[in-house]
Amino acid sequence: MPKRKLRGQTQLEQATGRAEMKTRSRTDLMDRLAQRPPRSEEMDADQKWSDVWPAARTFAASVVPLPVRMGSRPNTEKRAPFKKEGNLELVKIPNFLHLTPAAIQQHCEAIKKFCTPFPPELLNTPELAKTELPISVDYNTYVHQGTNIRDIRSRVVTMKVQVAALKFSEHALEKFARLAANRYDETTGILTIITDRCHTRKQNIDYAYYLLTVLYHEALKVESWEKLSARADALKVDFDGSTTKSRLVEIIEKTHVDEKSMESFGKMWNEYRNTEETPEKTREYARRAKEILGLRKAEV
Amino acid sequence: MLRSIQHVENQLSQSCRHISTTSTLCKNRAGKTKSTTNRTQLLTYEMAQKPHHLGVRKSWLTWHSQNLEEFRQSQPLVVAQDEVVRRFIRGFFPQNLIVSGNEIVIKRRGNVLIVAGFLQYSRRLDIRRIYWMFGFAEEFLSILLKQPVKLELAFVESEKDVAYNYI
Amino acid sequence: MIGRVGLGRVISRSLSTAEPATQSKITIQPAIERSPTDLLNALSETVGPDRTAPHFAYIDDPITIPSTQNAKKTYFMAKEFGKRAARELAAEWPTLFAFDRDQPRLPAFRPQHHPDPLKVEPTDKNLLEMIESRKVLDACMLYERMRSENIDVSEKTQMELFRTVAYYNSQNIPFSEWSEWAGMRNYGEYSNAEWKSGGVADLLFETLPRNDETVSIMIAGLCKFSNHSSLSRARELFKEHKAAGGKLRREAFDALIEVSNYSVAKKLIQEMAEAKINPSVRTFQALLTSAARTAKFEERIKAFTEVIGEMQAVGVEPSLSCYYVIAKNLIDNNLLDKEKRESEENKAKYGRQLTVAVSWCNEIQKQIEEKNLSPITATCNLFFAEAMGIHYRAANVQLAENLLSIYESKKNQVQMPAFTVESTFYNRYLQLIIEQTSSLTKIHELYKSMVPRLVGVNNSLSALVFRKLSASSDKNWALLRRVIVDGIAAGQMNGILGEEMRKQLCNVQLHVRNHCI
Repeated sequence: MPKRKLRGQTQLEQATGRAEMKTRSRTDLMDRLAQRPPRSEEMDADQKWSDVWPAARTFAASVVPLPVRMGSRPNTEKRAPFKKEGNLELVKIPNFLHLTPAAIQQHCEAIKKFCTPFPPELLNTPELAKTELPISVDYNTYVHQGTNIRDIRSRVVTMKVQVAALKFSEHALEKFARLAANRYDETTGILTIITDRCHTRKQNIDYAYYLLTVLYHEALKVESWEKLSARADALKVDFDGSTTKSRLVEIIEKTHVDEKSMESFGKMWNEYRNTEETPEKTREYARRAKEILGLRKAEV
Repeated sequence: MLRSIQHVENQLSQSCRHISTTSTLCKNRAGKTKSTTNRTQLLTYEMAQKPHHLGVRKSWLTWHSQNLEEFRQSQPLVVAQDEVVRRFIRGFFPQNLIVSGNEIVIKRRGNVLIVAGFLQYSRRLDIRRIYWMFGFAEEFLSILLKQPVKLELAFVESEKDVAYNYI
Repeated sequence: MIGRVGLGRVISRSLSTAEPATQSKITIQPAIERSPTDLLNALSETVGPDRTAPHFAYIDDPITIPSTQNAKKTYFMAKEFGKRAARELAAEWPTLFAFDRDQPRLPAFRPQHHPDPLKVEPTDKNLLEMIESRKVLDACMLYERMRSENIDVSEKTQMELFRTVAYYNSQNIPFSEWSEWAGMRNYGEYSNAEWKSGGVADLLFETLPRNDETVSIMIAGLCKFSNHSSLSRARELFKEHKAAGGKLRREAFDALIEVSNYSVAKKLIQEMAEAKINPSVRTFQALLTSAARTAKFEERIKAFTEVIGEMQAVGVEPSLSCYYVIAKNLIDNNLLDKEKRESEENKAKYGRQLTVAVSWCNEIQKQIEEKNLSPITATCNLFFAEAMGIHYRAANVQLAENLLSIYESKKNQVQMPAFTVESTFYNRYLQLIIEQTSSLTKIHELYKSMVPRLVGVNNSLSALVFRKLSASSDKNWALLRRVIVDGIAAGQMNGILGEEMRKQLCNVQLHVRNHCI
């Protein structure tokens, strides 16, 4: 017979209450006892919060000393919203505990030494930028979530040039406008070059500068065949050789109109023909036409 | 002739079986837990809100920027990664999950993937084991997804601590 | 995400390419040069220590914050072993982890096994690579394999291998030199081995031609891993080489000085001076180590004074490790334990030695006070812990605070390893200050800021705080509560301290007594 108590024996003794039960403590007692009270309880009220939460971090209920609650209840009078500990809603939302105003101020103070002041002349008169800084180059950098940092859009370069700074003559400006086609905007006087032809951003910037240089020099050149240009080749319609003028002259010769009103009519006609047609411009045309034909008194 | 055909027809109708059909009851059952008679069914806040409350009363469990138009190509990738991470956590911390691993939030911040949420002490708590599993899980997921993965899981004593309601 | 750099960029371009602006109406300052990490460094300067948080290596949850030093060690090692297991798995099965969508490729997430010496090609290049990555045993195996297959190994490679093998005694690098795993580095125990005779080192010594360098290396190796036979062999080699007219390098002299006693060491120094070899800090440290072996206290102090004087005369700045050797050996070893100081004579001796020790520490601290301290050897950081020990014994609060301020100042770059040496340093400081302060609020402040972040809860500390609590007249409930909570978390409840806790709790007055009449 074995020297220990048999299973049936022990069970009988336990059932009848005669057994000496050895109470054993939990196996994980020491680990369960190692639980400390939450840290928020021993934080000073005047501690530096940016030391505790310096970077973005998911909400930790034991660290944040604020008594927050979050969650909807059918009736908040009867039962308060869900508590801070174990609240998944507080964990889900992005919190900005690392960006308190005091922390932002600290960060700004720390970074200030790398900053240089903005040119005060530009602050006072922003229009100086047009004359002093005629070229502006734009490009984007893309930050991605994930392991891939490449983005094909980051090599696109947009260059905007104030053409007035190039100081063209009229002929050169017209040639420039022809060469640049729709990249040159007449109303604002800005040449826009958008390149993504090369593989890298640097190459694209250099290419944009190259295009600008080429345009400039080509616009200044006068070719021998340019003097063969006829009225039909001009970009804008001129009043002086037009059939309207000749017809008007015929009509007005009989009514003796002076040079000045002819001139002003010509100016208005040039503008009407060579720019975008709007209702106001059409009305102006009608007014001037009536004036020059004598159907209406000219305003002083 | 006709009579014999009629006879065959009768036999045919008597010898085949009919299945009675009704229209299907297309009732929406997603996200609805059945109540019990003695209020023992634990509901976390997640479970208590119906799916149509998403965005109103409850927030999302995954946060990333790949739902924008420019990121069409990487959307399925992100969904797959999420699923991988959730299954790994569910399988690796079997004793410590709360309600089969629904309380896990995945956030993406730049290159880092952050797994937040709640785990419970199991019936036999072993803190060293927890640390070992955390080290292993972080390293394993980092090497798997080729991006730094940080676990910011908090511990809760038992499921009762995240109970919002009992129905 | 849109970078509107147009204006600044262009101006720098146009100002540099165009003529110096005659009338540039806009003044733009040139950009301030900064390295890629300067901004981040500036931002991190704004963050101070969080006094309630555990070390950042631990999970920041109430259940997982370690309270005792043992807990810190086991948690840290557990996490590290988990990481190592995952890495082993990934190195074993690379095809299962082939999610290769990262641009640019990140080798940090693709761990690889080291090449197996028995299977890799037996070339010089592979051997040099193994030596480079400090896999000493692998390199030895590869070398023996190459020798057995009669493949030629160039002399340069052999020399490299000899250097490595002599430095590491033909064994793998000790735990304290592991660069990757901090837990093993701090907690791994290395038994200082004895010289492996008949190993690859001896073999290479025979094959390589005898010149100054090889003999120096051999002597240094034999002395570093010393036992009786290796020391005698080293001395023989020394005599032979000297007789043959060779000039040994400084490292050989350093090694010999370190293992001999003081008189022999002084003779060696003279020989060094005759051979016109300049002594370095390590030479003096070796001298101090040999001086520390002198048994008698007065002679030891004389020897230390001589060496320090010599250093000042030569103009060599003593490193913190020299001070460590001094501080460790000031008081006689047999007087350190309280039990051995029973007799009156011993107590008097101890008192004298302690005063001398304190005055030495005072001098040393004055020397290092305003200097920029940087680590020169691996034992530099141990000075702080030893000096704090002396201050604790002498109950000298002022010097202790001075030492703490030196350690925590911005000019000091010598840092002790966080969980092992630093915690003994702070433990001694904390216990000293608690013993000497009478105000419970100050004790409470200090205790809160240091336990368990820097100092683990231990029995002597808790006993000390309980003593202070009973001795003081004003009761500080917050401190009592904190010590008891720490004690419960540290598992002190079922010992003597548990009794103490219950006694203290009984003494707490719950209600203010009304004095009627």
